[in-house]
Parts: sequence; structure tokens; C-alpha cells
Amino acid sequence: MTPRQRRMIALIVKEARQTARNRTALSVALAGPIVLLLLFAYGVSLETERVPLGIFVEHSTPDTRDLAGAFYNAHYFHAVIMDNRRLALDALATGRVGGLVVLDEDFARAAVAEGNAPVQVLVDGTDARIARTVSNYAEGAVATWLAQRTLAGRIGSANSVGTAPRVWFNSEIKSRYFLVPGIIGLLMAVIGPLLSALMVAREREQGTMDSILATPASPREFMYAKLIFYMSLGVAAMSLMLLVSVHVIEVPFRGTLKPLVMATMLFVACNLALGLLISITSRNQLAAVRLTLTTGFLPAYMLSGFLFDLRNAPAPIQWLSLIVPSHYFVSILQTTLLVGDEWPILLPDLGGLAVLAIALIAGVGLLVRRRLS
Amino acid sequence: MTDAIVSAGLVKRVAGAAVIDQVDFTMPSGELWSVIAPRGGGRTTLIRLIAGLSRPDAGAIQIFGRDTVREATAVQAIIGYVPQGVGSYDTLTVGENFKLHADLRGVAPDIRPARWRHILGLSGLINLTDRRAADLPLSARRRLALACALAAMPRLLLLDELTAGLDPVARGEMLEVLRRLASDEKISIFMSTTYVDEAERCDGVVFLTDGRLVGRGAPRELTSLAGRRMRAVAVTAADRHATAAWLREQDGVIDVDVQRTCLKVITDHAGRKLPSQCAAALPSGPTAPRLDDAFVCLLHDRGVAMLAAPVLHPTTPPRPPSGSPALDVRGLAARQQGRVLVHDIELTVAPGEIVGLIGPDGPGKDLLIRLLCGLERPSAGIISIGGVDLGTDRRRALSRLAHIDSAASPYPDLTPLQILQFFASAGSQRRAEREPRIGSLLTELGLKGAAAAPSGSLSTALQWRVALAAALVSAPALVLLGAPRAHLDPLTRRLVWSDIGAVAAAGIGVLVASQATDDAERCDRALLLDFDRIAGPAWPAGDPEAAARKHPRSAALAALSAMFARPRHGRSAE
Repeated sequence: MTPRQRRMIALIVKEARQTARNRTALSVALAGPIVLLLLFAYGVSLETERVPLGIFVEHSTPDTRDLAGAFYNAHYFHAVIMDNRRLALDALATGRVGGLVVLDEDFARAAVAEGNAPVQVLVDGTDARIARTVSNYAEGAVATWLAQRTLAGRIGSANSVGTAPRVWFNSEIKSRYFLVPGIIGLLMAVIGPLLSALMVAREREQGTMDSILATPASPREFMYAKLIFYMSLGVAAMSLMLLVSVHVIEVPFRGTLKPLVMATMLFVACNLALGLLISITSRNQLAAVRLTLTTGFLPAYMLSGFLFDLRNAPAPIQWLSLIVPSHYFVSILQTTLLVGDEWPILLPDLGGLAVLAIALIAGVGLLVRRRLS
Repeated sequence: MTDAIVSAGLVKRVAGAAVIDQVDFTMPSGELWSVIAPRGGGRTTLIRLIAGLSRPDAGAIQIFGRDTVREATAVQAIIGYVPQGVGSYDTLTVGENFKLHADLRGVAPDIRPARWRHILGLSGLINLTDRRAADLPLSARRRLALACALAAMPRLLLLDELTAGLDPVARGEMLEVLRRLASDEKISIFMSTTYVDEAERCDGVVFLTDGRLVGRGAPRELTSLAGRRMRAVAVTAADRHATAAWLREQDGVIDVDVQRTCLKVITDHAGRKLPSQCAAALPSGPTAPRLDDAFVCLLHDRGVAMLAAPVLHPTTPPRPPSGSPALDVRGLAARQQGRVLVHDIELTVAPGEIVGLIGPDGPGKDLLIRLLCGLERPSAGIISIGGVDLGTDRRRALSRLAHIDSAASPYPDLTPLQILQFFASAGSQRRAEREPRIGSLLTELGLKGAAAAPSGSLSTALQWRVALAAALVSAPALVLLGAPRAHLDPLTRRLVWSDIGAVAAAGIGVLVASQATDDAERCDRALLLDFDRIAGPAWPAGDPEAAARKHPRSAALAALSAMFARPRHGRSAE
């Protein structure tokens, strides 16, 4: 063994001992992610279910009862029949209902007479997502109802064209499947930098870093030993989260481990290097935490495509997302979990991650040399 | 033999400003040297430069003939460095910490056990090998950091404030260890300290101010130069502050240090005679100088202006109702978690009196201070501040008390003016009273010019003045000084004492908690505080052995009383 290897081993052993005895660090690295993952997976849903919906029926006829029944039975809605226009509008204005289907005098008359009934759907647009669901479904429900009524009029017509929708990759359209990869990326993007940034900041505050640097160990050895140790911790956390996702949350896993392992290593390296960069530039633990949240968490939250589809974002934002590691990682996770090993999609993402990882680690080496010597 | 450290034309700039400016000195091999400087004066920067952790912008340092920049690796192999702070990993055990440093320094496995035993013995850590560093008391943690730095038996040890915050006994022991390392192991040691008594026991001293070298050399030489310019003037407790104020006004007097029984007067040159009235009225004679006296002379000769001792307007603080003491404590006792931490405390501070509460730090002392501040309730006894009972009229009693628990500015981001306005309005003073008081305090304490700057950017001395002004703005009857002075450099500590004198001269009672015998020398009365009770007055002191017998429960206190009993060179008039 060369002296350099001996020093690296001594430093890595030191990190391992410290982490093993530091309950806070261990829970941040391992227990925290699992709890958060479960919380996110079961607590957060982008699906629209049981939106309170008012149905204003001005004049009750068999037709109105029939149509109202269509809304009543849909699991998207929690429908309430109302017969007072003022109260119904009030309920919409105060947010007690997310939408209002108005079946007034005209509807009853027109439905009977012409088979072409005017239905007014008022939607609370405050939450755009719910509003879209409500209006789409209401339109669909009315159209279906009309179609059924027409069909019922001339039974036996063979001209009707049926559509049978089929959703690929996430056949139940469960937002959980789509969210879990994003959450894993998000959690790793917070935990990785936080762990490494805090550890270095702490060493600075307590003066232990200086006492190490005054030995033959170089600043770069000091930093790279940390990087290596926290890589293994990060990979462990990542594996734990994947196990929980697949076996507890039951997210499908359609790909293989190979691209996943590669992506994980690169992603963890990116995050740790980011943390080390933060810790070199910040003076104390508090500053390190603040910087981690702004440079690690927020970009991962907003620019990874975890919640917000980046294809709709303006071009500059899309360019910006190219330097956010979680952007690539979340995409890789979604591909391997939900689709499979689609190398044409995976390769560019892996390449992007690799470039970022190399750049960040080189940045650590460079900054360490400039700042610490 | 080559010299251990040769610093030539050393310059280090941070953001354009020189934090080390043209520092030259030579420390011979095998000696123990210290660097003394105010906070921000360049202590740590100088040590980091010597350790090769930072590159000089100009000039060079040679360690045993090797350049710290060009031969960095060779230099690192022969130095041991203990940075400021704890310096060892708290979750690792003593043994693991040491092993880490031995591994990093490539100490061969076969010589390790013997080396380890040897260093354990030197640093006094025997039987602690398996304890985690976090569980050790501060003094043992510092010895652990020292042991780690010794792992490869360096030729030069660099120690940054190794003794900061330790009690006098632990500091004394640490210095013994260092002296032994220098004499028995032939290890050269360069350390930074804020304590004059430590610097006086070194072979050489480097004195920095604002990164510039103000003085260097053997403490004995430096003090003997100062000694020729000093006179001790005998005084009585009643008139010492007034006499000091008068003396400060006289031609050629650059500093008056007010002690219990005498004034130590420093003049601008050795031939200077004290004013004739003074010489006629008061017996005066030569006095044994301390190292901080030498620093005062050096600074004066360099033309560095020091803050003048303030004269506080005596009518500014309202005197407590006639006859009532600033502080009166009768039969005080208190417990914490069922344990009696203090009992039978009897304590009186008259208006204008400075009383010292001298003893090792501990839970009893902390609790006593919290009791006086009304933060804890006593289980028995009465505390009255400025004649108001703290137990029955808490608010009015506390309005007569000002507690200074840190010599730094209480809010570094605010300006002195804003801080005073805040403390005045928090003390519910009316605007009409507030403004003139703030104005006069700023002027009297020399803060006028700095009133608009963020107080955190001010010098150590000015920050202390901000803390003092914040305490005085509410016109207290009693000023209580916790132990805020541990990290102050000797000159700022001196300033603190001349300010305390001015506070007392303005009729305010002052209670000073301290563990330093130097502080006791400057009080009107000093009481020895054992762990849980007041053991008695510091004077008259008996012989050391009798003192040790008198306080068998506390080794630290026994040592303290022994220090009082020892003849002190500061009191040559006796």
C-alpha cells in the first residue's frame, strides 16, 4: 500500500465510524427518505377524485333526473342536487362546490322537443387541474347521455362507432407510479448535498479540518475520501428507496438493474459533489443548509419534470433544466420503472448525468485547491 | 542549530486588506513562544501561514530552514498543528482520534504502541483511551488535540489558543505539559494565547496589532523596559478612581492601571517625573511590570492610539435611594433537580463598590448569576437590587440591574445607536429622557464616531463599549459582569477594568464573576466562591497550605487561594 492509499483508507474509516455513531446523520440518510417516500406516495395524489359538484335543477323532469344520475354515479364527483339558483351560485363562489351543472327551464323543454339540449357547466377555475377535469368530464357525460338517448330512440342502429381507450405504460393512470420516481430523485437531491455539506461545514467549525490538512493528507484526499464514503451511503439509501417503491408501494419495475445502477452512481456523485462545493463556499452549517435548499432542492423540485412537465416550459427554462442532475435522473427512473430498458431514451440521459458528474467533481478538485491552499 | 521559525517580510492580504503586514521574527529551536494579539489582530492567520495552510502574499517563512511554500510536504512532515476549537472528532474515541492522526502521518505500526503510551503519559490522558472525545471535559479534549498533533513527534508544534476558556488551574497544568515538551522532548512550540500569565512563562513573545508587529522578544526584556517607565502610587479604596482620573489628565502619563491598593502609572519615557503634587501627597515607588504593561508602552511608542478611559457623568445614572446598597443578598439558597447548588449566600455591594466573585466555573456559579438576574427562583433567602426586593417586585428590581454576559456587541448587525435605542425603549424609558442619555453615553464611551457603523464590524474594544453602553442606558444601580472576558486580549481586558472603574466612580455598584486572580486584584473586595457557597474573602490570605485545608472540597479553589497567598509582584508597594 502506498502512503496515499493508507491515508485514504484511514479517512474513509473515520467517516464510517463517525456516521455509524451519529444517529442524526443515519436517520437523515436512511430512515428519513423511506418515511418521506411513503408519505409522498400515499399522501400526495394528482388524481381528481370526489370533487364536490353542484347540479342545479330548475325544473325536475325525467330527463334532468336521468342526467343528474350520470354525475351522481361518477367516482370523480360528489354530486349535490340544488334547486335554488342563488344558493347554487353562492356555493360555487364560496368554493363549496368545484363546479356547477345548470339544467334550467330551457334544458327540460329543449330536451323533450328537439333532442338537442343546452347544458351550462360553470367551473371554478382557481385550480386549473380540477377545472379541466370537471369541464372535460361534464362535457363527456352530457354528450354520452345525449348519445344514449338518441340510441335509445332507434335501437338496432349498427352505425355507432365505439372507442376503447387504452393507456400505455401506466394503464391505471395512477399518478403514484409517475410520482414515485420523481420523489426518489427529489429526496436524493436534498439528502445527498445536505449530508456532505453539513459534514464538511461541521469539520470547519470544530477545527478538525485544519488539523487534518496540517498532516500530509492533502485537501483533495480529504474531499475525495468523503465523496467515496458518502457515495456508498447514497447508493444504500437509493437501494432502500427502490426496494420500498417496488415491494411496498408496488410501482412496476419493467427494466433491469444495469441502467439503474449506473444512473444511481452518477446521480449520487453529482449530488455529493454539489454538497462539497456548497460546503467549501459556505462558512458555517447554517449557511450550508440554506445553500443546499436553494441549489439542491428547489431546482430538483421545479426543473426535474417531477411535477411540472418541462415540455410546456419556455425555452430558457428548458435549457436551464439541462444542468439539473435530477432532470436526467427522474427521466431515467421513469423509463426503467414504467417502460423498460429503452436505450435510445436512457443513453442521452445517462450521458447528461455523466457530464454533470465529471464537471462537478472536477469543480470540487479545482475549488479545493484554490480555496484551501 | 537552525532556527525553528524564521519569518521574513511576511505579508498576507484578505480581500485587499493586509491581515499580516511585514512581520519579521526568529524563533530559536527548542523554545516555547507565544503570539498575543487582539481578536482580528492576525494570530490565527500567522499560525496558519506557519503551518503552510495558507500562502503568504509576500515574504516567506522557513521552518528549520525549509520554506513553507516550496517545501510544503517536508514542512508538513515535521510540524504538529492544533487549530482553534476542539480539534478532535467528538464521535471517535480518544484512541481512534490518535490512530487517525498516526495513520495520516504514516507512523510505522511497530513503533506505535510505545509512542502511544509515551504521548498518553505526556498529555495526561491515561485511562481515557476508550472514552469518546465528546464525553471528555474541555481540558482533556484540548490535551487530546495536543496528543494527536504529537502523533509523529513533530519538531515544531503550532497551537492556536490551546488554553482558551480553561480555568486557571487547567491552564497552569497545560503550560507545564508544554514546558516539559520543550525541555525534555526538544520540541519547539509556537502558540497563540490571550493570557498574559502564559505569555510571561514563554521564552519569547510576538505581539501583533492589526497584523503589524508591535513587539517581540523575551518577556523579561520587554517588561524590564516597561518597568523603568512605571511607578506605583499607593491609594486607598475610597479615592483610587478619583486619583486615577486625575493622574490620567497629567502630562506624560499614558496609562493608569487601578489596582486594589495602588495605581500603576505608566509614563511616556523613563525619565518622566510624576506631577509634584502627586509625589508629595502620595508615596510612590518602582513597581514590577507585567507583560501587558510592556504592550501599553510599545503601542504608545508606535503611535497607536488606545481608547481613553471614560469619565461617566456621575448624575447620569440616578443613585439608588440613600442608604440602600446596590445589591443585598441574605441567606440565599437554591436547588436544581433536587440538588442544592448554592446555599448560605450573603453578599452586599455598596453603591460605587467593585466586588469580585472569584472561583472556578461551575453550575453553582452559573445558578447564582441566574438567580441574581431573576431567571431562577431561590428556595430561600432575599435578593434586593438597589433597595428593591426581587422576590416581591421583580420588574422594578430588574430595572435596576444590568447584566453584561458577553463583551461583544449584543446585536452585531445593528449600529451602536440602534442598539442603545432598543435597550432604552425595552427599559421603558420615555423618549424625552432616552435621547439625551443615549447621546451622552455615546460621547462618554467614545462611540460617537462609530455610532452609525454595524457594531459587529467594530474593534474588540469598541464592541465591549457597546455592550457596556447597552447596560448603562437603563440607569442601573448594579452592573453584573458574568465571565465575558475569557477570550479578550490583555489590552482589551485592561480597558474593561478602567471602564469598570469609571462605572464605579459614577456611583454604580459592580459585581464581577471571574476565575482570574488578576481580576481580584482590581476589586475593592473579592469573595472566594466555592462550588456551592461563598468560602470567605480573598484577603487577608493565609499560607497556601492553610488555604488548601480550609477548602478541601475544591482542588481548584485550593489552588486559587494558594495563588492569593503567594507574594505577587504587582504589589511591590507592600
